[in-house]
Amino acid sequence: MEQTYKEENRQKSLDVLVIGGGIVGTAVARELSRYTLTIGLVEAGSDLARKTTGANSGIIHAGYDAPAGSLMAKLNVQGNQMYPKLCRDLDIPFVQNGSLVLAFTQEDRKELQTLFSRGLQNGVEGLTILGGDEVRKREPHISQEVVEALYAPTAGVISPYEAAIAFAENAADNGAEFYLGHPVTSIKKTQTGFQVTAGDLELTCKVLINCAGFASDEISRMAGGESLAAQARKGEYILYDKAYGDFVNHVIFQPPSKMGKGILVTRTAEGNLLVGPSSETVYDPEDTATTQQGLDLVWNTARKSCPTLPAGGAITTFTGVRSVYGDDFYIRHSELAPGLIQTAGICSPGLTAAPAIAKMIAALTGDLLALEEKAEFQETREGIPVFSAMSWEEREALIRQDPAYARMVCRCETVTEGQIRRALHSPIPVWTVDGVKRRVRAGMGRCQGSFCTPRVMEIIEEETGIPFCEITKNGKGSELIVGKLKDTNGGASHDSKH
Amino acid sequence: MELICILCPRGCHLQAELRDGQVVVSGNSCPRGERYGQEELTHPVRTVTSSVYVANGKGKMLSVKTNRPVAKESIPMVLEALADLQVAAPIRVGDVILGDVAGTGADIVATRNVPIV
Amino acid sequence: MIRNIDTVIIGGGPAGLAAACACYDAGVRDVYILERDENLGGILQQCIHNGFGLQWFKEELTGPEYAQRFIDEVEKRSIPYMVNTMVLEITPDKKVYCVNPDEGVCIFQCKSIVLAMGCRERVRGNLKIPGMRPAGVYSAGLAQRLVNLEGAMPGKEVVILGSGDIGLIMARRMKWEGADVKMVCEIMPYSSGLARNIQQCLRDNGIPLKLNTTVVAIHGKQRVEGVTIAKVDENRKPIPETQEYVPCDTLLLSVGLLPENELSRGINIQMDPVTGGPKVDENRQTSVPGIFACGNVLHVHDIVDFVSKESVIAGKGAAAYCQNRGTEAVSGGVSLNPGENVRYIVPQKLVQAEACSLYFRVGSPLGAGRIILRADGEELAAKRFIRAVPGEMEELPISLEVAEKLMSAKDVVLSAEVSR
Repeated sequence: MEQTYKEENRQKSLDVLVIGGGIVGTAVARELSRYTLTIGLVEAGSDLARKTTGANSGIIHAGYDAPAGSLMAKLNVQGNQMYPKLCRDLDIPFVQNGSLVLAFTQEDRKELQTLFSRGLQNGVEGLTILGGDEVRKREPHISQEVVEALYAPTAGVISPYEAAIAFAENAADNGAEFYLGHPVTSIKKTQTGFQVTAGDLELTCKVLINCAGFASDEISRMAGGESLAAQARKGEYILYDKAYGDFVNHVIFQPPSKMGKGILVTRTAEGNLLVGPSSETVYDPEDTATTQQGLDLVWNTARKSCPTLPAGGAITTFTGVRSVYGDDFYIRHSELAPGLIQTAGICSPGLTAAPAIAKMIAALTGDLLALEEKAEFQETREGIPVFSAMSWEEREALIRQDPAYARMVCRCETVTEGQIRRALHSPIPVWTVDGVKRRVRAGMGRCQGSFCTPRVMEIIEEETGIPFCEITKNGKGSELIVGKLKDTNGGASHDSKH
Repeated sequence: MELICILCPRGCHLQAELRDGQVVVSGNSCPRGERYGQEELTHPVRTVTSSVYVANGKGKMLSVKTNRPVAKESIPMVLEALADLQVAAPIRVGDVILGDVAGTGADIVATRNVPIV
Repeated sequence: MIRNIDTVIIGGGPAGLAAACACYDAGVRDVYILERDENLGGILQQCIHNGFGLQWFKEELTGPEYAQRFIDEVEKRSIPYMVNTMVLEITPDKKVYCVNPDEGVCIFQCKSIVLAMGCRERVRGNLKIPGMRPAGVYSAGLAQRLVNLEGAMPGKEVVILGSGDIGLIMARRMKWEGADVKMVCEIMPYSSGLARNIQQCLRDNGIPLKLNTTVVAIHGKQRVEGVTIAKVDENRKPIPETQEYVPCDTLLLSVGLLPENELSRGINIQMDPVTGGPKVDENRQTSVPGIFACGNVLHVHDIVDFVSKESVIAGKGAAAYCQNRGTEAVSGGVSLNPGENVRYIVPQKLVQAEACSLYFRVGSPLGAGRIILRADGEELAAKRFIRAVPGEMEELPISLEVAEKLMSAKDVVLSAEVSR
């Protein structure tokens, strides 16, 4: 079990327990926190959004990909329409820059037509087909081979983990409780619901919502539910320095294939350039290693869209693993374990669909519990100030409130000590270097933490009391240092003579 | 014997040979190189640098060095002597932290100013 | 509030300190140093090993001692400085925007600026090293800071990729602190570090240097558990049959340094794609009049003594600019072009006929030969060398007479020609 620095009340009686702190679990917690329910969310990892949500393309899809009538199609389009307001309300960085699906051949053009009419059926607004020259006018780095592109103005980019954190913090502000670093080890059916053991926590609930991603199958089995064994699909990415953030303006797709939406080129919500993902079926959903072949494939394929894609300029590479369960999202009441609501196979467009999935799960919850809206529901959340995005006047005002905002810690992303201290006292506190990084971007830039890591660790030590030597990257086992210097030599000390 | 002179960043590649009880050095570009070659074959020496914990000073560590090169084989003893060392601020560059470290005749001296906080 | 200052020096490391003193000594009394860290001295503060200063001070010093000598010079002149101060923006009309916890937002209107921000290390992502992303993968400089300034051991079983000087120094440092330093892998057929460091850091301590070898995968979910290394072919592509698993808990990277020019790029200073720093003239003036650059922000130096030397030039240049003797003709002058075996030259151009030195690096290790400076085909200056390696900076002094001839030339080329 993960060591948290906060004292926990070891026993909890809840109306609803959500298992899993990814984008779906956090969106569900936020949606349910509108109602007069006691809600808890338990997460095995040391932070929210560590798995599938933490490593994906970050695209808010328009909704032309999934077949008409599917849950994916419906929830994608609904989710897409919900995000602009959600991002305003919850202070989530979101850029609605539109997407282009490129056609290189006559065959591809037919595919665009299919996507176009599917989009119309699904209710996607604003779709148009652009000629090759028009595409190149909008995107100077696009290949000369492109003959046409499907333009979807409603697509955009978001930071997926920031979205999950924002959902969760808003839920916490509205009374939901979060237990990070608590893997569920047993679930017992009781007369009124379930009794869940998660580390040293004993949680009882009336309704259990399974948003555990790859662990959904295991959770379901513990609770006496159906088998939800999903396939793991791995995708590798290359992330570039912000200096390349304006290399493309839109989210650039190639025509989709059986393995997914193909390798895209996009700016991220924070202004980096991102290319990927590859798509490979793997046995181990924990296999987040990048490979030479995967990265080469990503780069070579992306160059088909943008032949001048720079060879240098990458600042990191990463792998995300998504869960595929049949052809569609699986969201329903468990038949074998009444009171359990199941989700599985929330792969792309799961991020886009998440707020709509949450609405759907709230409705399912309503089948089991009376939902009564809280008068005091707080719809908005204020994020941590983003110093780098402020005007000089705003910076001055902020520093006047707290000089810690004038102490630069991460020079690459312009992150101040004030922001880091705020992150460590978030509504859902974190205590890891990666947790800080995901909230304020310290260490997310071109030097990847080479300069700021020791200072971030010191601030964590000061704010949480965790000794410097025990601070982790992302939870137990990922300690950044192995001990103090000369530890092995005992502690006899001499005073200096001078 | 092939040597690289460590006395300056130039890093001359030296040839040092024992001939009739005398070390003959070639490949050096200065007299210091010749001396280095001779020493390296007879009694090699090194300057040891390290850092030790400092109490109530600005910063956690004090950087130190031996004030003259010590015999290469005594380096482990010097490091061991440093392992137990903790000093108190204030300290100025050149302050002797530990005299005659590990019987080498060299002193451990501070290489940084550490004011009290 | 905007403060008027003659010359602001951005960066209080060795470059900034030397530039500030030189600027002051040239008659500009209104000099101000801005330093982002809490102490002056820059990266030298964590370079606790010896080997600095032989050229400048004619004695061997450690990094902190070298820094302290220059800090003392700054104090002696009462040159004001502000630490914990991060410059976030500069403008072409030479305003400097920075933040400091005591002063808040500060804006300086300067007559001239010296850029001395130093460099950063290349990281894993720059090389796209495949594998997992556990704790335990650090740049050598980060490990150096942890060990020397924080008193923290980053790991016990260490593999080092890249034979840059910081990597070699850290191999010895960690070994001396009790770590098992298993090897240093270098993808090239030669080391990029100084020969003396191969001797005193690796050979002295029995640490193998594996040339033509790289890390092809990093293993471990939470903390590094091992790396896979492989030999590379002549195109630096890993050879799969040579793969070998090396258990370790730490991978240190010493794979090159990159000048930190985000501020320079912000005002579109012309850059040299090879050095990664601004293009400068013999006064170290950039393409923006009144803005000078020196030290590792200009090009990565092998030894700090050269940084000090270069920074004196920049400091003087910045002073002259303040005193209205500035060379406005930054667009004119004669370009110096790297020829055979020469990777880059600093300065990139000359704007006035003055005696000066050209600094350059060769592209690959060379045996004995000659450095030759030619103007329109005519040999104007030359120097012999016994050997030259990419890791070491070379210098060619230019006399006033030669400089005068260069000024009227169309095509100036510097080459390193190996004797046949």
